[in-house]
Amino acid sequence: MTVKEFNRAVDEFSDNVFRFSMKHLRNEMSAKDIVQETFMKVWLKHEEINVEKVKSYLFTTAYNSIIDFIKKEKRCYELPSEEYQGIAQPDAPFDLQKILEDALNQLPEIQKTLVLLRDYEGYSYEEIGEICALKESQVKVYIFRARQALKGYLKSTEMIV
Amino acid sequence: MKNKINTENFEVFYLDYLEGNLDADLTLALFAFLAQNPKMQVEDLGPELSDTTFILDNSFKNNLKQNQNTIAISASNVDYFLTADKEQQLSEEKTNELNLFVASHPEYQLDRKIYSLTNISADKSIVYPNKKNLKHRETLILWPYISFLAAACAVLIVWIIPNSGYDSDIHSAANIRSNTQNPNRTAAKDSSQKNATKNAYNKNAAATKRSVESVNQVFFTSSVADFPEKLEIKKIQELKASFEVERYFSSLPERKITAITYQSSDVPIEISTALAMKNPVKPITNKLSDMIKTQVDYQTGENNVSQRKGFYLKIGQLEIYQNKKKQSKR
Repeated sequence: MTVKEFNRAVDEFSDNVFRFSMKHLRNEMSAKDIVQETFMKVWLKHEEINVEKVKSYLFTTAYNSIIDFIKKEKRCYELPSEEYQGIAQPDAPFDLQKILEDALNQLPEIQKTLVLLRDYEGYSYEEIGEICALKESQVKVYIFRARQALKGYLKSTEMIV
Repeated sequence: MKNKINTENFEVFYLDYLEGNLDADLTLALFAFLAQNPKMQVEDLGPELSDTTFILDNSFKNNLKQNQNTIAISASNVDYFLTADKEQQLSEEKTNELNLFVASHPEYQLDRKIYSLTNISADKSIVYPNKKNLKHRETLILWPYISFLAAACAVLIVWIIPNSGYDSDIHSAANIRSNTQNPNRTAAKDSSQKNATKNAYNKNAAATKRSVESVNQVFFTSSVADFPEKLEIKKIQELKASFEVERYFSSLPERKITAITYQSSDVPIEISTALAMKNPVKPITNKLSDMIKTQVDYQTGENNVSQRKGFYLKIGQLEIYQNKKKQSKR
């Protein structure tokens, strides 16, 4: 991957990696740190990376960085809600995305990651497996469980009729 | 059953196994015992007791496999199919079957709707603000451009310089050297200093009638002592460079000529040495001369007693010369 291709990858994928990190860490500064760390690691190996695989490589690196970050900080997903107020939330009385985010935060970390990769980036089971070092069948099982958990959460809110 | 097999009697069971008299349970018990006691392994058992004896054939395995297309949708597994439908993992046939099932069981319509809402969409308003900091500068490899530029400049010089006059060229050549050594000095100051030092040089040179080489030697061995005017060494060197160039061109036949000389040390240029050089690429220079209809000459000098390797290049009226005098060992 050339310098030009790397810079293009910054333009194309930095927002995606940032959003992906934000969903996991729910902290803007931490998410920015992850983005910087991710692109720095990719830059160190940019000559070895095929440009067609750079997105997958970025998310793999970001995912591992997030896992390391969480382990290092001993964080859990139950962060104080006010810490997540950096991103404006709509004030609508019924906001499906807000409920889904709440539901997403109830999921185990791995399920959350897989659902985000699936829904945000549209990755196939095989690609998600490569990013998260899982078998395709494992990915499928995790996502199925996550969907059922999300459905259960939404149904429990009794706001969807 | 397998408790019956121990280190004392396992060989009996083994022999029964070899004779085909051991039933399935005892065979499993024997294998389990041998697995737990690897030291009790009998060499003859090797290939026959390996796991490969218990491989199920593929048809049997296939019968065990679950195929969603062969499983009927029911209340117990409808959740799986609804999820698979959301994930677009169902075949067209199975999707139709699910549609029929949900239609006949309205209580699952809500579940299906909720599954369809579980798609997490990205908030595009969340963007990374410092993309510029992540980018890296591209390194431009300049040397091909520099070489091209140098060639272009050389061609330009060849076409521009012939319009200059002889005298001014001489002084230009001298000034190039002078200004290189003293870039902050003004042109007027240079001129006056040269006139002063020129008179001093002529006076001494006429008196001693030495050759150019011997004069050079005197300049460097007795510079201040021989010049009561107490000229600085640098000024003397400038004078010598100026006069050497002028002396050389004065000895040449009348013609318009321009010389740009470069010398890497303070030792005066021995241009006559350049004339003694050899042209190692004479056919090429001749060819070039014919092509551009301008005299092209290139000569190189080998190491000798007084000189290091140097070169002399002439393109039309442009002459470039470089030579280094060997430093005397002290």
